[in-house]
Amino acid sequence: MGEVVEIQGTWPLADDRAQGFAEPRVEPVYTVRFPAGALWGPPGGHWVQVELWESYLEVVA
Amino acid sequence: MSGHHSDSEIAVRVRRLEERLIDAGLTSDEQLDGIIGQILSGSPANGARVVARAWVDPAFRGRLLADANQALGELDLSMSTGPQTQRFTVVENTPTVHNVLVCTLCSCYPIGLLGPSPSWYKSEAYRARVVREPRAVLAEFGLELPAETEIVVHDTSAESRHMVLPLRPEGTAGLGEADLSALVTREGLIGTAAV
Repeated sequence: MGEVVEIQGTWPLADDRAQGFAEPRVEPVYTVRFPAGALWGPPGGHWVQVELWESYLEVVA
Repeated sequence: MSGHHSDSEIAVRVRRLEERLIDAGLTSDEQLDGIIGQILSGSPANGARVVARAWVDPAFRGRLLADANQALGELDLSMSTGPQTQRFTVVENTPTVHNVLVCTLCSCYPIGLLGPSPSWYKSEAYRARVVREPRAVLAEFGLELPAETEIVVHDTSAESRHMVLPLRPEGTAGLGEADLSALVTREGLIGTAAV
C-alpha cells in the first residue's frame, strides 16, 4: 500500500499518447510513496516513489 | 544530422531513415537539427549552476524546492525545450535523507539540465536493482551511506523530471558560485555519488 505525497497536476495519459490518440484522456498524476518492503518483501528499509496516473490507482478503504 | 559524415553502419542506417521520414513529409531537416541542438545544449554544467546557486542563496533554494520550473527561469534555464514542457522537481539531500533517481520503464532524464544520460542509467541492471537494493547499488558506485541514512528512490514514471540537490561539501564555506559549481558532478545530480 502506498501513500500519495504529491499531486503533480493533470497530464495526458501515457497509454493513450503511445497509441497516437488525437485526444488522449487527461488525468491527475500522483507521486505515491511505497515502503520498499511492501513492494519487494524483506529486507526493505528504503522508500520508492512512483508517479502514477489516477486510473492506475485503487482507493484503499 | 547535417554536419555529420560518419560512414559507420549505424550512421548510414540513421541517414537512410531520416531521408525516408523527410520524403514522407513526417519531419524536416530543420526539425531534426532543432531537436539535436536541444539535446546537445543540455549539460550537467546547467544542473551544477542551479546547485551552486541553491548552496549560496537560501532564498533561491527555497524557491527551487517549492517550484523548480519557476526557479530555473532565474538562471535562464527551462524545461520547455522538448515537445511538451516537463514538470521539474528538485529533491534535497540532507544529513539524514539521500535521494537517487531512476527511470524503471526506460530512460527518462532531465537532459536539458544534465545532458545526455550515462549508459548505465539506461541499463536493465541499474533500473531493476536500484529500486530493490539501492544501498548495495550505491556502494558499488563507491557511495557508502551510513546505515541510519534514509534512502528515497525516485522513479521517473510519468511526465516529471527530477534532479538531486546534493549536500554542500564540508570546507567550502569560502568558495563562490563558480568554484562551487565546478565541484558538482553528474553522478551527484543523479544521486549515485556525493559531492
